[in-house]
Amino acid sequence: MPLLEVADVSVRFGGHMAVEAATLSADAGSVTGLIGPNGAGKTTLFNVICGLVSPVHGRVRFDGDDITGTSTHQRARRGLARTFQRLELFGSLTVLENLQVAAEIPRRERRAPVATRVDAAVEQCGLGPFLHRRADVITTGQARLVELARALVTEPRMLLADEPASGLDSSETEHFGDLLARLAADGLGVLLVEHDVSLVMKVCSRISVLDYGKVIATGTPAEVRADQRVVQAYLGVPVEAPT
Amino acid sequence: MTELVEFTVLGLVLASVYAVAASGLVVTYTTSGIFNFAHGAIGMMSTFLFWQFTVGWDMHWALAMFIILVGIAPAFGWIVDRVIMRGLANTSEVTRIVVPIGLLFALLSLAPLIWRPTENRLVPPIFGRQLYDVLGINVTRHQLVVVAIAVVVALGLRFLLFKTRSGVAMRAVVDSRELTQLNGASPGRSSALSWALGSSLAALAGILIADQVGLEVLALTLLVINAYAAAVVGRLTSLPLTFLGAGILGLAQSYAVGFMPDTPAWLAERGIEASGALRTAIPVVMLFIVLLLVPHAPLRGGGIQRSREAAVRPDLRGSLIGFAVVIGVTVVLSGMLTEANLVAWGKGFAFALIMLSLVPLTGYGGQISLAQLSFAGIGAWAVATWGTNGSPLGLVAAIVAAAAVGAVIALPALRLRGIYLALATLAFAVFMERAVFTQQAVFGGSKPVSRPQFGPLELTSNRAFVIFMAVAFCAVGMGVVLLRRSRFGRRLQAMKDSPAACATLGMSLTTTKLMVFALSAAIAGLGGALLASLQRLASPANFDLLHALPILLLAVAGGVALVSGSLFGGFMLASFAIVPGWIPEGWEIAGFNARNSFSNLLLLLPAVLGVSLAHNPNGAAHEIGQQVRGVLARVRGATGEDEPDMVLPPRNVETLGVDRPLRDEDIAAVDTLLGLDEEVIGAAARSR
Amino acid sequence: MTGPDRAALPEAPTLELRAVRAAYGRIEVLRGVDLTVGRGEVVALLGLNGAGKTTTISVCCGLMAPTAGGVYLAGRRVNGAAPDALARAGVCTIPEGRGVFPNLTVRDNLRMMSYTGRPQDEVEERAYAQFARLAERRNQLAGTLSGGEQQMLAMARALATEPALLLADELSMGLAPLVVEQLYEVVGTIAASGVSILVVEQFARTVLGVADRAALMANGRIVHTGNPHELSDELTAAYLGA
Repeated sequence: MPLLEVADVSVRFGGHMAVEAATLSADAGSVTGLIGPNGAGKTTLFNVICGLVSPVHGRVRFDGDDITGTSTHQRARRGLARTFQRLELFGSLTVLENLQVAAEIPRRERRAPVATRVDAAVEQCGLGPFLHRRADVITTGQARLVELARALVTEPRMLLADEPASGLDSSETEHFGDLLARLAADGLGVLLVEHDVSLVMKVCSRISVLDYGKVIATGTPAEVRADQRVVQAYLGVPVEAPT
Repeated sequence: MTELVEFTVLGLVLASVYAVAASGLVVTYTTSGIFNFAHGAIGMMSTFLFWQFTVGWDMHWALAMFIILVGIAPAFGWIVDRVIMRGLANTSEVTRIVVPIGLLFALLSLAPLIWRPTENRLVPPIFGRQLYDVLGINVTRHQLVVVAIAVVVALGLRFLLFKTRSGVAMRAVVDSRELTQLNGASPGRSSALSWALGSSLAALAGILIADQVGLEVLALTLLVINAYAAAVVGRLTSLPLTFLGAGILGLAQSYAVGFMPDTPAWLAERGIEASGALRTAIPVVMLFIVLLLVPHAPLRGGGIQRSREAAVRPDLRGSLIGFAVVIGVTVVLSGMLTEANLVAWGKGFAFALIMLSLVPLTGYGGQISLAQLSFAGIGAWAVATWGTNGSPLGLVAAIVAAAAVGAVIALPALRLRGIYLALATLAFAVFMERAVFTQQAVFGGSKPVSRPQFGPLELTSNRAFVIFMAVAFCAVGMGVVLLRRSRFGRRLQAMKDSPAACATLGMSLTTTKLMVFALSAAIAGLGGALLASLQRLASPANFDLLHALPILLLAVAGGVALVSGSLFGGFMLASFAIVPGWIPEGWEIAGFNARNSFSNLLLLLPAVLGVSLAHNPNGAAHEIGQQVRGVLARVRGATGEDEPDMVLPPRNVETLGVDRPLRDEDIAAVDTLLGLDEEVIGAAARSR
Repeated sequence: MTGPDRAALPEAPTLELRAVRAAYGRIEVLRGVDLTVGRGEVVALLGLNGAGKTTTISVCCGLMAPTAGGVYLAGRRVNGAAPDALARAGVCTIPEGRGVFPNLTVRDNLRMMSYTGRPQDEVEERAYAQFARLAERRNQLAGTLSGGEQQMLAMARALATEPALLLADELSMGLAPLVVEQLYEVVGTIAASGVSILVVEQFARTVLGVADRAALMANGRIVHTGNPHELSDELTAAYLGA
């Protein structure tokens, strides 16, 4: 059974269907990619999964439980964490404090002490050199790592990464991709929205393609690349599409 | 039956005035994004002007109205927007709320300077008392005209907003500010226009109601606060719903006067006058209820927005030294001050404590409250009730009672943010003032308070008690400094920076807000209890809205994220009672009593400081701190540590080769250069 | 008033970006963009999501100030100029995702266009002449129009106000191919009247037919400029990482 399942989810903003009957799933221990042209509804789908937007239709299941009606923080406590495309760091706190805030949020289950979890994430993401700087003055590349580390200290089982490579240069992107792959190898489930297709092709084991709010293809990177509908979605070759 | 019609007519007249006032609020808010708390005060000033013109200078009422509604009021609104409100771009929600409140307070303090409150003034009904028979009851011509004017305002606004280009542009700004600009219209102009229009409507509402309310500064100003409920029915955006809200409110108030049963005897015997209290509180009760029905705003990640406000992490050693100095100075000075000045010194600490309650709530947590002085009032009541014979339990009761009420009132308000939260806390504050503190059973006019005694420690002398207050302030202040460095403090700061990120990390925003509201109310309660103990008297007069405004203004102006800011604010407020005393009694300047005039002028200071936040949103204490740090750094001969606390996004103003904004000539130049003239377009076409 | 160096300027391109950098907060999105749109030229700006295309448009129309570099209109540096001033100066921008006011009627939308200096009657006349559908729906709220009709209404601004420069961002987003084709016919008409155009697209092939030149953007820079048909082959590789 997949760890995260999105079944038949639709979202409406006013008269516009941002997401239409989208179905996808993501497993623990692997990176699942979610790609698609601008405005296809990727970030909206992320917001539905973590509870910031309510769908008009469809269910979200996590570890077999239906979590559609639960609040955002309850979902986080089940082990669902995310990063934001437009960074959401706590700008007036230091990098270390950013991690501490996240690590200190109480949970029902017993976990390692705050300091241990923070140290581990600092080590894993290499935050040492800028640990005591304020979060609103570090570079984008550093900030992306801090957001990842801040999610990791909550010990999530599934991480939603929203365009983590945007604003990074190519070596930073590569480093970030390696990091995600390593985390997945350690058992974390990752759902990755990314427009850097080469990164997605490299680290994902499965990819879903979203277009006009619908999932138009799902498969391995090779399958997706060969899919005519995907090529059409990206290149604008005439294809049936709603107005 | 006749009675019902009578009260319906009265209700409709009141509703008409509310509708005029509330539609002005809505027009200003939707277009400029600023909720004009000073709306009522603008109406009040205009009404006084109207009196001055018609009664004072014998002008015809129509001419006076024309000058005010078409000239002075709109000009004032326009200037306020261009000079003050436009500076609010990129500031925090708190600043955007406090600056108009500063303006409100400025006008409130200015009016009695110009029109001495001792004089009796009357505005006769402009349109006469001639009676007409409507549905079998007598209606004055004035009442009929007031209703007619509301209809004309509704139609006029409809025409303006839908049939003129400027009106269309005002609605376009609501849809999309950016797209409005891309169409070549200036949102700044629309916003100034909305302020001009709003001010004019406020003036009209004030003038129309003056014969009923009387020419009284506070009453006229507060009348428009009643209209807030109508504006919130329209969600601050819809004019038709606002008119509907005004109708409901006016009728409800009128029917309450006509048909609400008297307070049952068993309550009256206990000193509770329920029905009178309810009648006066209907507008704020309605405001509170309507606010609870406002739909939940979704949490959205907004990305990192660097606001102009700094967030300074307090320095532990510096704070300790500061507190030691405060206590030391108090111990030394208290031996030298006169009794009156000593009490004023003590009041400084009480006010500072109440302002300190805003530091964790607003400064750290980003929540706003206009009800802190009400919590202080609860503290004062609790210490008067349970602190008899010097029992220290009184102070404990004050803290607990205020915290409990704070939590209870926060519970429904938790889902509100920004301006809605401000309005909900304002509704609560006005409710407490009108319906609770006035009860015989609560303060009973005023209540004696005995000062607490801690075992053998006697605090009966003013000096001892003031030193005790200094210690209490420093202890709580130290607690607040430590709080910022604690887990909970980090959580608050995180919640302020990004609520969306907090929620996705598993933090319950509800719990966090509830805790900080309770904590903040507790601090304010302690402040109120100490104030009452110092005066040996708990009186509702200390805790009304008029006193609440300078507390908020000075707290934010002093620096709402800083303990030193509240000390600065508290002492500034307390000094207002002393400084005028330095002017010899009986001095006259241009026929005005110098001492009285000066003390009124001083009251303008918090207002000016509040308004100045539009230009320096970090507050005075931060500014002073920066200056001192700068001087110290220069003395040491080194630049200070790289402290990146206020970085404005760089905005290049290199336009057309000069460092200034575009002027019309520049635009004309670009027009020509870009080939808007046929010649160049033609040439380009040929070259293709 | 005319500028002091007017004589030197007619040769200056309508739009020129020189080493433009721009950032959202700390996220630098443009990292030195050099781009020229000559008089009467149609340039297509292509690239992946997040490459910086929309930001480039924002910088050109004044909604965003560059952190470094220069934006030149007809040879004059206009960094930091207000968007409404630029709009009145002849820069017509159709932003991403429907450049219409949804809660205003079609006619009120057209009325807003008259802020560029064209008389309102003339704006309406021209718009209705090109898009008869808009005339039928003149009293309808723009938000209730279909996506294609909304985009036509947005395009009406470019047609009716006679700009010197048109900046169009993702005209085809979310629209059926047939509608997209119609829109690009209109772009062609506007281009033929001598207006310089910078058009951003993700759907590559639709735009190549009208463009004189195409620029490919990646990671905040222009990585390739050239003949649109040469560029066509590189696109598949760029988009799908093959």
